[in-house]
Amino acid sequence: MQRDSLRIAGFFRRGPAVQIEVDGEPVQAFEGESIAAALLAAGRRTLRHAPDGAPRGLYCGMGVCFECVVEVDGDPSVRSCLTPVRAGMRIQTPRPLREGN
Amino acid sequence: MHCDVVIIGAGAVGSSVAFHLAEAGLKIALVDRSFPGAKTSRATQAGIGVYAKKPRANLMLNMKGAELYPSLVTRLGADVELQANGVLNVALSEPDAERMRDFVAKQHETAGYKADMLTGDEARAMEPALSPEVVGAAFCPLDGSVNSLLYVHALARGVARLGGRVLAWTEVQALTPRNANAWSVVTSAGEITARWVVNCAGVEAKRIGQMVGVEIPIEPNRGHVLVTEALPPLIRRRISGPTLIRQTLSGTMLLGQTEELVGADAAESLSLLAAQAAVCRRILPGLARVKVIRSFVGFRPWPPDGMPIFGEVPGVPGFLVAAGHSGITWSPAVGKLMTELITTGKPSLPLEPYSITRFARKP
Amino acid sequence: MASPEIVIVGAGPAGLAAGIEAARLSATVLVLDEYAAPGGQYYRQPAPGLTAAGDRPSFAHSREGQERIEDARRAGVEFLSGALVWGGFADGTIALQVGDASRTLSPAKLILAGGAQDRPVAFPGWTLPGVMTAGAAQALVRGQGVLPGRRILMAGTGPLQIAMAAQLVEAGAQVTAVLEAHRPSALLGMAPHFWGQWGRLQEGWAYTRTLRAARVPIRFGRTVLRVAGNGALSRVVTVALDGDWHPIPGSEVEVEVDTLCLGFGLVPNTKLARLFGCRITHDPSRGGLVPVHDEQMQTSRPGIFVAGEAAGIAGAKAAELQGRIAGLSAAVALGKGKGGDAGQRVETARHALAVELRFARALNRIFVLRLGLRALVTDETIICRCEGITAGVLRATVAEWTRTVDAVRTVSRAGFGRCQGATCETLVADLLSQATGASIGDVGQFHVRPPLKPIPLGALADLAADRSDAV
Repeated sequence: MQRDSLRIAGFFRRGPAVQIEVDGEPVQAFEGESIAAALLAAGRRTLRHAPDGAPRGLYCGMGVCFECVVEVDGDPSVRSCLTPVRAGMRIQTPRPLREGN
Repeated sequence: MHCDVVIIGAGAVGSSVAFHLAEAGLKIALVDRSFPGAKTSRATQAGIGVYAKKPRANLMLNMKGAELYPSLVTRLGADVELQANGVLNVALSEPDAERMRDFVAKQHETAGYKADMLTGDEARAMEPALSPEVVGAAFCPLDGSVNSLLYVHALARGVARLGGRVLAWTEVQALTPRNANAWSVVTSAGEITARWVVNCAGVEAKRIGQMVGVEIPIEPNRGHVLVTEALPPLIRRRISGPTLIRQTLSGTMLLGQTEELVGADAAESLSLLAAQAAVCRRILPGLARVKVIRSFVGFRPWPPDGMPIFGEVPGVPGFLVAAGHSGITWSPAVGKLMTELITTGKPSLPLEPYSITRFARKP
Repeated sequence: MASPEIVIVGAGPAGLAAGIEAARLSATVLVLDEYAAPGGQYYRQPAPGLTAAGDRPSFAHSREGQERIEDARRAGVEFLSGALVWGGFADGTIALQVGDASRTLSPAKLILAGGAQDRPVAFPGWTLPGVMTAGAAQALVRGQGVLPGRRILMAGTGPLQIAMAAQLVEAGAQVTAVLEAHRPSALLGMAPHFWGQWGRLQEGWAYTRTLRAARVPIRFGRTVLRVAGNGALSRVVTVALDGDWHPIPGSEVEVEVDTLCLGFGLVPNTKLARLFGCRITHDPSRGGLVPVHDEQMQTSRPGIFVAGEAAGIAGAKAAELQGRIAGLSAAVALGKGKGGDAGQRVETARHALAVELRFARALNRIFVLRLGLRALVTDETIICRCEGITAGVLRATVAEWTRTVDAVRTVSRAGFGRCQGATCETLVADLLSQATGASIGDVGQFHVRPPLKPIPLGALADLAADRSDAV
């Protein structure tokens, strides 16, 4: 039986709870989990926007497709599926550079 | 198939020659062994670079090319991302700035080429992303850049629109003079007979020349370019000097300028890539955290003296050569000149300085 | 380790086995892996800061992996995690990014064990958040302890899907169905190949039992047609397929799910091999493009070996055996293990490998994607995800004057985004093959150049020997 959270009950013991900032809003996470996992567990599936403005999220989950890139502490293209969360991380979900295609 | 002119090589040079000839009403065939722009024209920063060209004949040719771009692009009726807003040639040391000042004066004296000397602060006023290490710059209003692939494709499509034949994936296998007025061009798609053959094969120009027993001393000159991810606008104008830096309209940065005569070896050099990254970072410190997503290697067709080879070949009537470096810059001019040569025999720029005879080699 | 004799790229079953063998023969071995911890996909370890809270079937591979990693460390293998190999140069130098900085290595021998990735399959809406690969779902569950979504549909082909579905169920996910594109009749051909594969049969039977108990149906001869949603996935239209996987009109069914996991098999990661100039061939029985290699697992470039899924899709057991062969061969080539039993160990591994490969190739042939799936791709379907380039644009490019995937890439710009064609190359090749009639093996490949993946300009600049502006 799965409770409301997407974090799987009884699977892992997690590290300390930390707070990160996503698009200016506080989000609870656990130190060491991937940014993508933390965002997914917080109900955020849109990680960035494509050149045409369409929302994009996790696709390959293994660092190959670069769909999951977010801006982290000023670094514009960090793969959220591979990068562990740290307390105080400031994350932005990138918008496209220009209108249309 | 019979036509007036066969143009071998559909890069920036051949496609322009073909387009201008088609505009003049001649029946032409543009032949390429892969697709238009597949070789040097797609592996270049595609700068329209006049500033550094010398000697005089080279400078004048490149000036003419740059001047002709806007009207040609209008006739093409396509968006080729022509950036005609000038280039900043920067100096990172006082001695370099001094040399630049002298060079600018000399270029003006030689052919009326205009460039304005700026102080470091004036350069930064123009391009705020420039490093404080820039102590001076020459602003070159005539220079700029273009999207070479879009440009070459617009030319090739223009050729087709004007009734010319564009034969992609077609290899030229033999060139034989039929008589004083006709050539037989045997290709993988059949034979074409024509009055004229124009060798615009760039890095392959030598191989085509060998088919008619002509020694064309063009060697591949290897260049590396780094490509970054797309960024918000960082610079508005192309930067030259110790290296080349350009931001395309999609936001990606093209970085680097290297030259090596190492044959057709397309392997990359890590030390050159790293050195180019370092000098680009020095000029635009804001690039330090920007991601490089790929690199490419291109080959400039390089005659021994750096000057292009245009015109007729003594003893080989009807066979013309149009090849050399900076084909992107003088592309509009070479199309016009070869067309004038073929139609009236009177090119608007004398072609003697570019003649193959300057190498004093006999066919 | 400043100058390892052998560098292994990839810390999955193949890389670990190679490292153990080579280190036991006293070679100095450094294993580079891009992830935060060794293990790759198959032996995926929990993310840093997470520890298993008990014993579960899902953790079996992780536990096995942990033991192998320990074996490797005990043998003297050194690991460098978070290391992205981005460059390989003619003089044998490799360049890697670790954290903010790049560095170079010049090993005497190199073993490429970079594994495989999920085969991309495109259909309208596949770029919506909520559509992910089975590999992504596995990474989330086993590496992060997070479910990929609340209502999950799985679509694809092959036994890996069943395994993944069972793991999801065990983790408490709601899996609405597993769609297997093949009809049962197509799978009957499998039966003889399972003779002797009792371990696999047992595992497969356990997974199927888990699904049965959770009332998760396996629907044969069906797949996804298109998906939709407002901002993220919410609706999937599924469709029945004929024997050649052509969608059957009138069989569409719409289901409401928030997650779609796609499991259409694996393709070897060949970019590293291609970067180093290794010769590549196309072999559908091995999953597509694979590096050419000899019986010692050496590629066409002397001193460069390949092992594991990167050498062809054949499963973890084959990967381990190939790793052993590559590790032993590389060490022996360095003069290690004289007078020992290295030769014998290679022979033993080769015989076991032959058995594994026979089974794997049969499986690959049975579960090969049928051409009817191409019908899913409409002109509006995005093919290059990074640059948003649709199939319609690519088809126009092909119609005009492009005949190779490299030409299509140059003209359309598909494959020039951040992922540099890792996701779209097989799709472009398929589209080109369909449009021109040429076989996949004849349409060529994208040219691979460094950096293999994005690196900061500053890191590259810092590698410059002379930091002055001299050019």
